[in-house]
Amino acid sequence: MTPHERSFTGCVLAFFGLAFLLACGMGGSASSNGTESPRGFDGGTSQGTGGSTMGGFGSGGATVIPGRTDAGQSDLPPEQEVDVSFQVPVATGDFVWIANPQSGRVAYVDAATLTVKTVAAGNAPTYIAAVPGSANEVVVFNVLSHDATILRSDAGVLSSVMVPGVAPLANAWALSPDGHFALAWTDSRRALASATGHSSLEGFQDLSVIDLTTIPPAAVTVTVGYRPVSVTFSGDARAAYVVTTDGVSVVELAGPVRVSRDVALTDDPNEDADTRDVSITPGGKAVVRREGQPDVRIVDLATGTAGAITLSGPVTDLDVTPDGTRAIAVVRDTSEIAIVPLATTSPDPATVLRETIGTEVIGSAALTADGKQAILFSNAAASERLTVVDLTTGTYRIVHVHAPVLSAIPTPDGQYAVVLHRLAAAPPDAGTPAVDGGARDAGPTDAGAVAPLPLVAANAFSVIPLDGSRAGRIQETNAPPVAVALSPASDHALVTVRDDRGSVFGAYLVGIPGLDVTTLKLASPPIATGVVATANRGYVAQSHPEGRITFIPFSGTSPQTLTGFDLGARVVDGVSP
Amino acid sequence: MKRLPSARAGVATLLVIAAGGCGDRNRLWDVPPTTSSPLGLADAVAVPDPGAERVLLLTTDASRSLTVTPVPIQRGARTFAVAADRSKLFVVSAGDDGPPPPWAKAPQEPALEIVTRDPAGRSRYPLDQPFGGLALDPLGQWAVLYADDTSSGLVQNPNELLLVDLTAPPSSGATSNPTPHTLRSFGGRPQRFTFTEVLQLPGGPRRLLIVETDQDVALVDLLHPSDPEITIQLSSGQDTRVIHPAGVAITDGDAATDDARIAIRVDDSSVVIATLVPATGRDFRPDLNLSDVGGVPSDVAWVRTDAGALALAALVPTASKAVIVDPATGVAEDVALPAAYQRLSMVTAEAGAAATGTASAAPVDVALLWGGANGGVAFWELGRVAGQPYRSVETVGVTSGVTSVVDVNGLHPELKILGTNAATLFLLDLAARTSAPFTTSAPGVRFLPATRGDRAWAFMPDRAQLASIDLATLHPQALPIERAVSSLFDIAAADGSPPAGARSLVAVHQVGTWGATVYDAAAVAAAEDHTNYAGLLTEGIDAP
Repeated sequence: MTPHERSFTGCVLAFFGLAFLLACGMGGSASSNGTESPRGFDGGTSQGTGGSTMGGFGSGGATVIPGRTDAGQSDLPPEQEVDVSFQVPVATGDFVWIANPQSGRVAYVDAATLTVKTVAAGNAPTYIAAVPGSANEVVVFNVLSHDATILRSDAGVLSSVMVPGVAPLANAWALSPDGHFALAWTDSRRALASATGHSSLEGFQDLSVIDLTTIPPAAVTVTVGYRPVSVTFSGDARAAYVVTTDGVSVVELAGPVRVSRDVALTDDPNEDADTRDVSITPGGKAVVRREGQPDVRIVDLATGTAGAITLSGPVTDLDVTPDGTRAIAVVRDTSEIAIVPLATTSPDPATVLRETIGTEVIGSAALTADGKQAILFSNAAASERLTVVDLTTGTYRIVHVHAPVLSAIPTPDGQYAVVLHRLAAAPPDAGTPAVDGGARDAGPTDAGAVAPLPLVAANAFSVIPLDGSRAGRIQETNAPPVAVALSPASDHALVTVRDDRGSVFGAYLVGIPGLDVTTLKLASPPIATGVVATANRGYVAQSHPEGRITFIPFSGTSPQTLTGFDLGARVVDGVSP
Repeated sequence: MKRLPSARAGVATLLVIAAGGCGDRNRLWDVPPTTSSPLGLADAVAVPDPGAERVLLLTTDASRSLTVTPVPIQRGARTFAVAADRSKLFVVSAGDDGPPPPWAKAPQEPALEIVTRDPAGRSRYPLDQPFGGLALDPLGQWAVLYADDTSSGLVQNPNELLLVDLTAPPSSGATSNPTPHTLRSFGGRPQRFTFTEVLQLPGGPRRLLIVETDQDVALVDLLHPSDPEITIQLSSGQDTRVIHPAGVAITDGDAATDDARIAIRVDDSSVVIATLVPATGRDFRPDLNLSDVGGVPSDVAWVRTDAGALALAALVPTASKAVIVDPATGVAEDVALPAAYQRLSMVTAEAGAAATGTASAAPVDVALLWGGANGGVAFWELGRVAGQPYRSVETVGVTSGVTSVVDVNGLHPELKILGTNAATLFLLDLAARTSAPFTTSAPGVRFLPATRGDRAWAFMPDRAQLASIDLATLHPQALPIERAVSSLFDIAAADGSPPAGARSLVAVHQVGTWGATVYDAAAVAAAEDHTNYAGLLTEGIDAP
């Protein structure tokens, strides 16, 4: 799936977190004896370790790895430090920004010099997001004062602007790609899963729009559909599409901010929205998959017209290319991949390209950033293979990896992928098995039924070249991986690992294409990782009451850890204040 | 200067008294005798006598003759301190700040005076503030004066410092020495001063003065002493809780990199590590890291673990553990200790010759742990044994609580004298890892290692008891003494007479007009010869 346009209101998120959206929706049989190169494919095979795909990443971003806080290791309560004050950081051009709800301040760390400064925000600054298109600008939602703070560092001078009247239950930001609009909204899944929770009748329907180009910026709050799960923007950023239980709310951003319509995604009023997997194209089409159904439904959000294409079996994964022109659907039951043109809501079946990947078990797909390749795999089965499909030529190759695949994350240039692995079988204390979007292939139970195979991340990851030119590398880790960050230049991957039970925390820095690995022990549990490209270093934010972040230079110099952001900001230099 | 053969001492006293009865009475007869404790220089015993505006230097020769040399000092002397190498006595005086000068006397300004046995080494730095606080650079280049409780001003700024460059002459013309420096205060006032050695900072070699106030830490660049300092505020400012610094440990890190670090121990469960990194606007700035060590650390030190890796060692007595902190990553590893040790002393050179890391031949540090209520002492080898980090904690058979560790130095740097809270002391051999106990007649016996390192002296304050311990044979021997000993000094008897390198043991009796007993520090174990002197404070009063 594409990293920015998809929503799925199913149960997978409850187990695997946001990024696991990429891997959800697998179903069907799970034989793992696939062979390679049926017709129409180049048949190239790599014996190197392979890659699987997992989801969103990007410049300075982090990818949360699924399967970590769920079955298996997750049956243990994490050994957390009390009152973790600092939130997940975000990176802009030069800085890493971290909000501290307790102090009411936002720390910003110069990633090149590691200078720490703090700035006051509103009451309980909590949710922070970088403003696209601006070198060093972030927007922070202050939970208690229900306002936002816009912080901008320009030539070493920090400016701060308060925006009152933001949706009080907001817990997420959506920023238009051009940096024009910031939308504060409530991710209902996160809200419902949070410890404080909300009433089961709460709809979380307030969404605030802040035009960042006006002076002073002002928030306009509109009402969207029941329980939003995702927000995306149209290609021209003149509209935002909010996927909700009711359908898609179209928020007009050009001119007076308003909800112009709520578009239903189904004709069946009884359809369970939780089984729906929705992707939005930049052109304003919703592409919908329903768990266990063979249809791919296409809805024009401008007109409300809808059509569908029926595939050979239940669609287990659905991705839309970044340009929004094609949808990639995977049918695990038949090992079929279908490329559906999205020019119309009712594409001619003859224009749908279909291919069967032999007997490979493929239930999930991950697309490279350019949309030219798809990495197919299944983590419902203990499959140790990937299928790399060239979406422009239709050729594919089977890549054997040396451990069952959990997910795969392509590098930005699409040349490599970081593959995370899963255990072949659940450990005895795995606890309640996690459902991975419909997998039913764990073998018969005593009663003769088929039980879902629990997903437990293995202590390993691999980095593989997608062109099959050479073998990849599998790296055993001392704890299960929890996040992956990739440099925009695709020359480094940073994988963090975490085992709360054993208090084992660490990071692995992989050089690409050399595939050299540097290990680093961390002092506390990693909670997010990312890359500051301008500083040529990665960072790992960690759970610590005073805030902790480790910067890992890609140049090979020693990593540096900063702990206590407020403390670091309280250095007073009379010469260079 | 007057030499005082013992037989003439009483006569001299009488003569002085008689002289005082004729003509004008020296006003100093009217001031009370000094109550200041004598101080030991390398070649003299200095007896401060501020009321008489003098310091008496007691020197000896190889024949145990005692010479008393009165050295005039200014009025209003408040602080006396000896340089780390015992070469100088520093005297801080307020002069006539406040009360008017005595009749017919020229007024005196506050000053820092340096007193040495050699008159050529004496000097005086005028001060523009009547400060009483004095902190000395162990390397002898700097002195810091500050307002303390003895300072007499009506209103004083405790953050106002005077930095004296002892290698430069006093102010003249455009040059300013001392350099005034007022710390930017956030409510704190200086509590402790630490001079670093030369650190390889991003801007080049540099020494720093680290000032711990009662709530923050200031870094003063001694290359630019008038520049504003860098202040590290330790309290968050978000509540009323105040974090107090409790000590610092400094490392220059690896010579090739700009990784000098300062560890600040505070009175909560954290250690703040400041890495001095390049900065704009000045040569360096501190990058701060907070490391939670799981309890209030009682002592910290920079150590080298396996392969020479630098780490911070912290003792946490409340948890009977030590914590090793990687300064780069903040990773902390606990090391269980057999007792709640409070103090940590690095003894690598004396005890660690055989301790090497497993990964290479790089030396690893060895620390001596002590200061627990019980548990004696332990050796802590900081190398990493495969799969078992920092394993090597080895106790030594000292069961009493060790309250002090005194270096012997000289011939036996591997020896330490362990004072305890009982009537026992131990002589710890770091090389052999033995601990020889010595019992004393009562608790409170004090020990003084001989400068030469061949023996140690023991005495009970205010009692006429004195003993010598031969550190080679471990044989204690009582020494004859007739008067109660107040303090004891081992000084060079450097008067040029043979034998060269002679030393004297001087026992000072702070009763009445004070007296002294002088022994030959080299021959004292073989002979009972000693010489008594009396009336020390009466010497030199009428000297011109």
